[in-house]
Order: sequence, then structure tokens, then C-alpha cells
Amino acid sequence: MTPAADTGGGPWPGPGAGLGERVISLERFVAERGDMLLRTAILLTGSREAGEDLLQAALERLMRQWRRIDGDPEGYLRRTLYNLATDGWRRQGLWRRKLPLLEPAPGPDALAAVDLRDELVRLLLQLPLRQRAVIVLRYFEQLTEDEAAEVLGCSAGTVKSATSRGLARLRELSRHAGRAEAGRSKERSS
Amino acid sequence: MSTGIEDLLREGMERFTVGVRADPALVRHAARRYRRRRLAARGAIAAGTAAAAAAAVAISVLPGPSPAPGAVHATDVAFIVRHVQRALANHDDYLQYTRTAPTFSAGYVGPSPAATGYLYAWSYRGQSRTVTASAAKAGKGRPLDESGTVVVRAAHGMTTTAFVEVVYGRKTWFRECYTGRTPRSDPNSASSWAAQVRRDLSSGTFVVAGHQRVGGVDAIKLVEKSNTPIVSVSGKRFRMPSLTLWVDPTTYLPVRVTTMWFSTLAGKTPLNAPVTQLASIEVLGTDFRWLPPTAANLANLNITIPRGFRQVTPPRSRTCPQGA
Repeated sequence: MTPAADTGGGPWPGPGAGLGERVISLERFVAERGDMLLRTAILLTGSREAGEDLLQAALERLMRQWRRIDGDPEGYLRRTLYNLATDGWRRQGLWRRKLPLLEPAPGPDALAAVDLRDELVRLLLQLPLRQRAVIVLRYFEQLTEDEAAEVLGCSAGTVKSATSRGLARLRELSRHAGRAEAGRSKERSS
Repeated sequence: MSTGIEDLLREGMERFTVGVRADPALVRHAARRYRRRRLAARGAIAAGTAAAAAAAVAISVLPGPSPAPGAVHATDVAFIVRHVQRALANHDDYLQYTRTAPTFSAGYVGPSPAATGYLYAWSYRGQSRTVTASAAKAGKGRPLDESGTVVVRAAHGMTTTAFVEVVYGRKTWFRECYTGRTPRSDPNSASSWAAQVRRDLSSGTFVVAGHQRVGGVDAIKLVEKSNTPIVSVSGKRFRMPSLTLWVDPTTYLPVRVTTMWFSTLAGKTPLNAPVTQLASIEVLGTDFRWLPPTAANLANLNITIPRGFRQVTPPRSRTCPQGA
């Protein structure tokens, strides 16, 4: 787990750097730190491909805004990743929130015990994007509330309340899932 | 479940993404996309300085027979995109009605294709209503969920938005309020759609792929030429994710948008079937109608709570202030 404060990948070319220089520098950065960023993007979007698309969009925006970035480009990239995830993916997010309504009763292949960790990640993908982003920042990237607030451009209080709501929702969802599973087990045994 | 959820989550997230490697080619793809966007922006400026000439070109292109894909020049694309952007900026003149339907390829591990539904939405100047309805054989068209937003108070730079949701399966409903500097946006509102389409179009990666009859209109088809990799699913090749937009050639407002993306899962599916990798195609198609704001059309924005439904506490406990 790499904390946000660790600034690997530099030194970065200056604001006046040409596109070629920026690409070389970013390729070096992605080789060193891209895995962690991609894992974060996958957790934010729910799939490998959507995660790659999100990371690519963030990299493109970084290239576009290079001259205007004041400070560490990695910090900008990380903020962009989270902002794009909670913004551009909103529409897909709406459908995904509604999808459980359409889900049919599970078939017999769902009767096996579900690993709780996998189940929690599946439930994580049902959370509103802002809550999901906060959970990923706090428990995957292991940032403090202040660091997470800086990435998301909000107050530490907002991070704290979103984390609390997100965890409460996960507990509630997992209880529902547990009850449904218990109900199915009972039906099976009767 | 009451203790250690954070640790379990952390382990789960580690497991979900274990072994993921970022391809350095991502940077080259992003650079290529950036260059195209810059070229498209220059093309749009050039089109702006020669508006009269571009208009003449457009008249000859738009109402005529369908040109072959790729036959329309970049300047025409910039012209069309600019007009779509402008039309969307004036969306407030219409009541927007959308109907969205997802379709899933074989191998999809979420809801079965037979259980998919439709999302209907109406939106006009800050008020919106969305209905999710089943498309399953049993109960086809039956509403599953209904929600809506309306601005109830705006003063001193702060806006209070009321949100109502009716859950048909549980026969319950709730109402909650959000107060902030900007109204709470509904992802299906006209302004959200307009912003989304404008943002997508500004990527500069669209090409005109001829005309197609959509919703009774000989629409212009704009296709996103994405740089993301081609994937093969069930023997078919797809470039993902991609967006296709059809616009009315007279108003330049969208008549249909489709978004296509795919997903893979490693480890276990949500139904716990052991797989190493599974790819599926999901297509989200939205049809648009831009209606005059007559009393009959505006009535579609109202939510009626069915008799016998019980009001419950909002999940986020955001009760509305008195009088709101």
C-alpha cells in the first residue's frame, strides 16, 4: 500500500514541457505507480476495463492541464481520478443502483456460502460514488481523513460523515444479504 | 459483521484487484486522444471563422441521402457538434422525456436479460420524475420504483431540493430534502443529460457515420472513435467503451444515445460461480423526446403516492424543514 505522500515517479518536467517530454515522464510514472492507481480506478468503477478507461481519461486531462498545474502532478492526477469517477460515471451509477430492483430470485448455484470479503466488495460497488470513493481512499489507499479530504476537495468532516454512512450502509446491505441467504438455507432444509 | 468490517473490506479490495498491472500504453493512448482533441478544437475554430461556408456545406449534407461512413469532412463534424452543443444549451425550452433500456450479452452475471427493465424520465427546469419499470413477462410495465426531485426553496444563495421515492415492492415511500449552493441534480434531468452529452462531444473523437431513421427522424449519426482496446466476446469484436449519438438534423437535439461498455470479473461472480475472467457487453440505449411544456405534458412530472403505501423515514434521515 503506497501512501499519497510518497512522491515516486518524479522529477516532473516543468510547466513549459512539450507533449513528448510529458509522455515520457508519465510513462515512467505509470511504470512505477500505475498499478496502484489502476487498482484504485477498478475499485471505483467496478471493472478492469472501466478502470483503465477512467485512468486514461485522468492521464489525458493531466496532459491537457499541465501548464496550469501548480504543484505535484501526481496529486492532480489522483484528484482527477476521484473527481471523474464521481462525476462522469454518475449515469451508469444510477442504473447500477436500480439494478438490484430488477434482479430475479437467485438460482440454485447461488446457494453456496459467499465469502464475506468478496461480498463486501460487491456491496461496495452498490454504494453511491462519493461514499465509494471515500471508502476506497480511507481503507484501500489508507489515507487519513485530512488527506482524503484534500484529494476530494472537501472538508475532513464531510469525509468522516461519508465514511460513516458508507460503512453503515455496507453493514445494512450485508445484513440483508445474510438474511436472504439464511432464508434460502431454511427453505432448502425444509 | 459488527467488528472488523474495515479489515474485511481492505482484504476484499486487495483480493479484487490483486495482480493488476497498468499497461504503460495507457499513456500513449491518452496522448493520442489529447492530440485528437486539440486538432478537433482547432477545426472548430476554423469552422467558426467560415460560418457561412460551413452552413452551405451543412445544408448540402444534412437533408440529403445518407453519405457513406467517413464521407463527411472533419469541418462538418465540428459544425454539427457545435450546433448540438448550442441546441443543448437551450434545452430549458422543452420538457425532456427519455426512455432508457439496458441490454446484456450472454455471460452477463448480473440480472438475467429476461428480468431487465426500462427507466422512464421526465424533466423540466429543475423538476424531474423517474420511473423504473419491469420488462419481465410477468408484470411487464409494472413500476418497481419511482422518484422525483423538485426545488422547493431558493433564498440567500442556498437551494433546498425535495426528493421523493416510492418503492413499489415494499409499498413504502419517503421524502427528504437537500440544501446546498446548487440544486441536487438528478442524473436523468435534462441539464444532467445536456452536460453529459456536451462533455462527451467535447472529447473531439466523434465522426459522422451517415444518417439513420430513429424515432421518425432522419437523424445524423455521430460515433465515438475510442482509442480503447478492441475486445472479443463470443466471437464478436467490440471497441469499448463507445458512445453513439443520433441528432435531429433540424433542431440538432439528441434523439438517441447508446453507451456500450463491458466488464470482466476475476475470482467469483456475484452468484459465487468460480471463474477466472468473464466478459460481458452491456448496452444502455436512451431515446429522447423534446416536448412542448403544455399542461398535459407537465403533468408527467407529478408523483402520485398509491393508496395504502406507508411513509417511512428517509434512509439518510434528511427530513424536510417545515414549510418546504
